[in-house]
Amino acid sequence: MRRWKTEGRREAIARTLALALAGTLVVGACVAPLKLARDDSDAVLSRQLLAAPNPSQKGSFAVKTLYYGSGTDKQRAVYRDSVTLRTAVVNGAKFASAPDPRQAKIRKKYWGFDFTKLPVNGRVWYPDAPGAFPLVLVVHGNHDMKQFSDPGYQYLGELLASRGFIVASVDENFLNGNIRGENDARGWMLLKHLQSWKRFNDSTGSPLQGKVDMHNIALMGHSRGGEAVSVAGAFNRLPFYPDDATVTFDFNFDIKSLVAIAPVDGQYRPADKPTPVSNYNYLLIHGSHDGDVSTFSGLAQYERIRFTDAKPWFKSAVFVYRANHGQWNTTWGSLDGGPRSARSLDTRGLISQADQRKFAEVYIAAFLEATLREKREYLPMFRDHRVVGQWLPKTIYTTRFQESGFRTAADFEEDVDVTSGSVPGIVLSGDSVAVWKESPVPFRARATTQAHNAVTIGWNNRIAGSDTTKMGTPAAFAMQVSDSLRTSWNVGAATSLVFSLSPTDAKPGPRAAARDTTKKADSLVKGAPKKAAPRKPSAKDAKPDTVPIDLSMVVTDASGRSASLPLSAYGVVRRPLESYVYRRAGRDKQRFANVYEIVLQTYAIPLADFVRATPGFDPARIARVQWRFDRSVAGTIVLDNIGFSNMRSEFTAQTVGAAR
Amino acid sequence: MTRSIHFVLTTALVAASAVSVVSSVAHAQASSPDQRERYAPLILKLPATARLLSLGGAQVALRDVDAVFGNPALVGTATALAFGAERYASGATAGQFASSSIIGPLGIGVGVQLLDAGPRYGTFPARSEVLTRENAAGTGSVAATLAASLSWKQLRWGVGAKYVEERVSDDRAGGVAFDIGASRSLQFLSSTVGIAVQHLGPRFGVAGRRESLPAQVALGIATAPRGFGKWLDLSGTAQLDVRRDGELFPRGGVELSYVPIEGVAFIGRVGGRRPQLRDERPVAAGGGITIDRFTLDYGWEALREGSGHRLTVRLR
Repeated sequence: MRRWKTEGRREAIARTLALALAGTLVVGACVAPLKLARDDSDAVLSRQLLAAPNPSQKGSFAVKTLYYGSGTDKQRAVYRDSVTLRTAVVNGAKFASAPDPRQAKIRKKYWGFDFTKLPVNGRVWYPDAPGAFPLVLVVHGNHDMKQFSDPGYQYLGELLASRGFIVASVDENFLNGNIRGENDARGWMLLKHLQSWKRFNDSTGSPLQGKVDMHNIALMGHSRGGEAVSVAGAFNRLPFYPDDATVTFDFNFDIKSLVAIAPVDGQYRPADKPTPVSNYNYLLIHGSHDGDVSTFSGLAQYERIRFTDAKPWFKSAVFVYRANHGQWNTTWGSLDGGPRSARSLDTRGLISQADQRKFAEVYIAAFLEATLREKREYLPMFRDHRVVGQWLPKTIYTTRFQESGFRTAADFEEDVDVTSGSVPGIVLSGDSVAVWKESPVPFRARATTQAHNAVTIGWNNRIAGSDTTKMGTPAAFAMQVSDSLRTSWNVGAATSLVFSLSPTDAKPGPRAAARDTTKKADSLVKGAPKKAAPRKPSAKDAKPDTVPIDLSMVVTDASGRSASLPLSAYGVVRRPLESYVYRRAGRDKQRFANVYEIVLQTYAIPLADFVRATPGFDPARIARVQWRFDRSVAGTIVLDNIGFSNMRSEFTAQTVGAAR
Repeated sequence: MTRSIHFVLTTALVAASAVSVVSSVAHAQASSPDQRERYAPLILKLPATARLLSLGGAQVALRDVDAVFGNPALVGTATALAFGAERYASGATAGQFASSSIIGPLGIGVGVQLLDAGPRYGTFPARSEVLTRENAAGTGSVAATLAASLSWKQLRWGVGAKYVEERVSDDRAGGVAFDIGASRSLQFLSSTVGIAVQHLGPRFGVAGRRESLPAQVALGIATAPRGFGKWLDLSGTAQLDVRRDGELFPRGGVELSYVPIEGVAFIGRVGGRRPQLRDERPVAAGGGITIDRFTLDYGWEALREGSGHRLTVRLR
């Protein structure tokens, strides 16, 4: 009897172990291996050319905090009991509404108010010193409305306040949850906050009286808040609400700068058009491993930012490899879809929260210092992140940049003629290229584009045939610049050649051998055996090209003198970085058109560097710019926003380059 | 965490208290086991799938492919296909097929249940001993159902028609039965409540022996899976059947899923019921594994002698 019991127990244990093993195998088979791009940060971030103080270091001011708001908040004690400055509620019913009456009821029950009585609540960090200090509003994005998001930017608030900024983290939790298309409300609320701030600054007896520099304002937003700052930027200068002109606007605040952290784009479209934004400094940051906004959506807004007045604006976008969506906010954390997204999101590859926040501190503080406090020594890092290598966490970055001095020669938006530039006097040409086309730059998400065109150039210098060492003339893509254009743009030694470029993993096949016209064609020779047609490479044979890419930038002046520099000296020439967001094997490939985002790196090459490389070259008479594909046998690039810039000298004060 | 504990407690309350409290009421008016096992055919009194079996047979509020067997109002709420089989202690086998889909505004469900209990001689109607005793009368039983549902006035409404047949030895009785159901989603625990009037139809019989269908009103609630920590989902269901003779049969169960990675779930279930059949026992349990659209469920039920084991495959 005992033996049977023992045998039974053994059988049960064996069965349990077998089941556990089977379960483990099932799960193991489903988990994707961790795949990360080769980290080149040791080399790329090895320099520190900026001598300015590290902007992520605390400043000299002691920091005080206060809360302002309705003073009647049902859910948050700080906006009920700890309010120093009371604010009136605002009617946001024209801008946002609950998805259905039941939800409206639920929300009202929870918050104690509906969309007609939205509170103007904020938590403030400010320097304990006489002002006036620039004002920075930061707003969160969408999240569980019951897990309050506004405290999550305390790290930025404390840092910036210690450096002489007044920072308010704006409460828009009551717009969170299951509402859609409410980003106009989020942007409008920011402007209503600014109206309150004007009162705080002007009111006698206010602890903030006279402390706020209302002529130096920045708006910063994360996720949907990142779109909201652009909306606020547009609304700020409009007389009416675009979707209902019975709502008048009268804002016109001196907003100088906008910061978008992993923003969405297009969730609100004023009059069903992309939000037009112009004449603000704009900083955009986004992580490659964003498990919520998994495409670099802000690039579309980045492209739309225009500089139309004569003021010195600039815009910069930094793509941070291995950063996610939530770690920019300490409340949100590493799981971008909430706690249960641990099941779906792969967080193994993420940089630490501390590193991600460190990056935000460095770039955001420097941006605000540069744009609100005229600390111009920080400007070069927005053109090329390599100049502050020692400040940045070790990961891979891609930088886009443009400033108001940029003159567009070719952005491929104007027509369908591939030889024409964006302005008269520019002629484009290709020599021995295998691919030459203009098309929209895709996002990684399916059926979406970055809402701008670029030119794609592919080449293969190898001549088809059995001799794999036989090479043809290096392929090239060229831009002719007319005399009148370079004169009108005042191109000279202080000018930089600027363009944005990204290699792709496509590799065209070898080019056909040039036909020998001195011989009779084989087919004309009587009795000549017919050669078999060369086998066309099938799609299966095509493998992503992983060989590093480089090319030469060749400029030629009107007298025919040429100068050449390697592109890689002015920025890393890197294929798009694959980023896998999901834990399930194959899920990224299933959900996205590509497992990478095409983010073009901006290269700004001072023409003076060409003079250093080839004395005698005259930049004031530049006649041709050539992308010569002589450093890689084959490859494909996406190229956009080609032009010249007489940018402020501060931008190029520190430059990593070949001739330096 | 507090909310999770609240959810667990509430789910437990829904499932367990409904079973235990109502069970005590039922127990007060309990009749003898033979009296309980009255109506025919036997197939209509058996849980149709492994999941239902392990949840104590509580199905009237479940949004699943097998809604066709319990509440026609819920067909189409989960589009899927399911098939399975059960082996009883007697050697009897049961099988089932169900599909649920949407055509235009209608949810459409098709279901077939079969029971084959061996070749021995007996008379109509079959009793539950065919599930537990090898020498019981040979029985074959079938029910084929077609059901449709529609949303109207914030409720789902459904109707099902079924052909049922029972064969015991050489006696063969058949007829038509109908189910009518309604359901509604509640915000409370993201739950669904359902009510169904089941097995309506004329008496049917053979060779002078006539039996009524086991008509009953079933009222139930099922909570949607709710996250409990990062990796666990918990849901529960409870149901009360009021049979045509006034007897009350509470049943219910809870389902705990461990989801180690998106699309893969290991599921454990436990259920309880007041048995309608003499050879049934109150306890049932089971488990399952889901990999994306594929689910394999196992259900176990205690019987008076031995037990029943059911496997069901669900394809979404």
